[in-house]
Amino acid sequence: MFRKTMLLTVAAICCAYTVQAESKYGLETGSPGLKSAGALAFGPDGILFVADAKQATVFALDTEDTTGDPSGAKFEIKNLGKAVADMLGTEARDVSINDLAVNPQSGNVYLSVSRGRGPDATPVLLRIDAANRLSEVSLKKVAFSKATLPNPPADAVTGEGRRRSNKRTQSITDLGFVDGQLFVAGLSNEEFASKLTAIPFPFKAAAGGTSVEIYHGAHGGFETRSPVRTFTSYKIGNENHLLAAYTCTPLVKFKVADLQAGKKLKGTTIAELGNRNNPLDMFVYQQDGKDYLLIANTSRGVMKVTTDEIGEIEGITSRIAGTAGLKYETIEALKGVTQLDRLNATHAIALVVDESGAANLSTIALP
Amino acid sequence: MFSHHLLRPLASIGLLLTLGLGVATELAGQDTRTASGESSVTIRLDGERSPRAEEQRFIVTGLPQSTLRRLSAVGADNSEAWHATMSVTVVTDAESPNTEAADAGPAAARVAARPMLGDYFVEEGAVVFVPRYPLRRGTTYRVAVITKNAEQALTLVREFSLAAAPKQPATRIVAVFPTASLLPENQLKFYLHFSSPMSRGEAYDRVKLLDDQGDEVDFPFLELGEELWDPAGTRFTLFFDPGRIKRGLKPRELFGPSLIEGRSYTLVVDRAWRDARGQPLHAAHYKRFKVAAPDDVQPAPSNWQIVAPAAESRQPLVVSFGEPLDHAMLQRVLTVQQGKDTVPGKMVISKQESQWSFQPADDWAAGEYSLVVDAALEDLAGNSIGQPFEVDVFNQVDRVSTPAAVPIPFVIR
Repeated sequence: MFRKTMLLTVAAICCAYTVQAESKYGLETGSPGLKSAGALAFGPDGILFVADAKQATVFALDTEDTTGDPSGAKFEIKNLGKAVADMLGTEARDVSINDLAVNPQSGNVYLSVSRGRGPDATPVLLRIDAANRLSEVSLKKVAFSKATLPNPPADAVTGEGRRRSNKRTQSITDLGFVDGQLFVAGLSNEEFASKLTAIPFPFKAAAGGTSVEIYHGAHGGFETRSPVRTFTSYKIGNENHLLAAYTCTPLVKFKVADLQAGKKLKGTTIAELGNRNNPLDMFVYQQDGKDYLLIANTSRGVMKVTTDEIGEIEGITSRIAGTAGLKYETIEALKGVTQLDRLNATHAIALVVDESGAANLSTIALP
Repeated sequence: MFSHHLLRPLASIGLLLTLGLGVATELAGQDTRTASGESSVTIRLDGERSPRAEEQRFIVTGLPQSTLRRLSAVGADNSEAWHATMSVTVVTDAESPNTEAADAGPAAARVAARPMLGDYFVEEGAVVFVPRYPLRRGTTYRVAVITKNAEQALTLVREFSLAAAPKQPATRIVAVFPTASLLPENQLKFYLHFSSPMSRGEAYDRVKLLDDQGDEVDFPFLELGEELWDPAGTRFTLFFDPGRIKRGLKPRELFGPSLIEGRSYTLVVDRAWRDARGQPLHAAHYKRFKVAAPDDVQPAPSNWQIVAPAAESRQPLVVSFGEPLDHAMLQRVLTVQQGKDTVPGKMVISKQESQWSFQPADDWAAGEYSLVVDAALEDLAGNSIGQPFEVDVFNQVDRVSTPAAVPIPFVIR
């Protein structure tokens, strides 16, 4: 009897929470209909944003996962690809782990996964709890809302009433939630444009957000548009900024307030990260009273960037030998990191590919 | 094969205690071989060939009534309780004759298989497992059933090796754009077109660039986690690393541009690239090209040559750009309009993407028309009608002023 009462109480709390999240963020319950699952980011109250590039859409899902203790969590799963493939009843070569995000409220880790390698691959979301147990995030009955990116590719009709197939797609390289807005970075598989889209959350009906064309300069007097690969938010003084790494490696800062619709915006280059390294993931953390930016790269290990002069730096405008701008050190010990997110004040979680090619989920001390 | 499967200790379950329960293994395309059984417990797979997971069922019959009663009370979401009696796992790495050794590193072999996701229930005296996702053809699945009596726990194992999908004709590379064999030093991208949908996740391991000495150019391309495919999975966009094209950036200053004017290169596509069915390509593909000076000039529609056909004919309108333009964008950014109406018809891209022609569905009527061009249209180096790839001014960012579409009038007489 006691137990039954307890269960009922728990159920009542869950319902109350769900109703609150649904009404608070305008979510509806049902099947969101994801066709792909790529970049992930957490918003408020356990809301998980999932990029579905196939539909040029971003989904907000209520994970109802708001309790836990990130401070003590420790994740270690050898060969995560195989563990995921086992669960999904397939082989590791037919599974790809597209992104990883830590729910800051619970400390649980979320993965976006494709089951299958072809264009009809099935999107799957998985959760890993503090006991390193993997479970599936249901996409059947979940509270969600969605926003479609502005200017989705429109089929041009020019031939005998026949719609040509449109091969243009917009991939989404990163998502981030800052100050009530979801920022979406990506690039097209055709034109080399650079658009950063800001979508206010809760999503409004027919939400599309606004896109800003972003540029960067280079020493020598050139400027170009360029897609953003990964970004994070950072407060400089009292102003929210985005720190963004372009596909061509400059690290830039933008004031969030400057990202306005129809405006062409040039970021201030605060560091050049060098070649042979494409930035993959980044976040800011504190250590001994100072802020650092941690960046995982394709080939140069993990970089720890000091933010000491981030407010004053005026942008790299002259030819500087070696790396210019903010100082950084490369943490050589952290090689093979393909996914990185902040776990708590002292640790990060990383997907690290070892020499055998297996991707292991590891908890690493912040350098 | 038979005994090999049966005698191996099962790490996830414990030691196999008995072989006397009708243990069986089933191999693709062969008859089921069953050892003589003392128990009536059987394991079967229904709907193996169904593409729908909900029609695929692993069914265990002959379990004691006490077990069925106990399991009937177990909630569907309490998978741990079900796994104590029945689990279905994927057989991989060295265990499986169907897995390529290259895909399962040593680490894979050390990890015990986790049970598959799916729904368990008791139905008509049988325990049923419906996998959450469709079974994969060519994969072996192992069903383990544990029954207990007063003396011992007995583990019954049966494996089902699903027949591989029938072989299909190998996928081919049907086109690589640009088709020209002379490309600017600041060439921005290639489009690779395939005859069937391709597999994702290995693209950057399957393409390389060789110089005229046959040496591989280091890191010439932009490698992205999310590969740039079209929705059908038959066209792949391969960007050159923009950090080595743009002037004034460190990658280019340290390592130079990926392509150097005056030299020749070969883009090599590896035959091992797998299509969506996991089969390699029909053959490797080589695109040889020579490199010309960089192109920093925006395409200018005012310089295009438009040859308008005669009225009352269905002769094509022919537009010559004077240079190759982006093949993908040419498919969708040009339209012929009369007033505000789009003229229906068919278009053809020719002369190494330097010519676009349009044949109307109906005869041309005399009158004024316009060719409307989206200003996003780019040349091979990413210079668009609206803006050059790089601007040689510093600290001078203007508001976007180019109209999104540029109309070019012409008259049909």
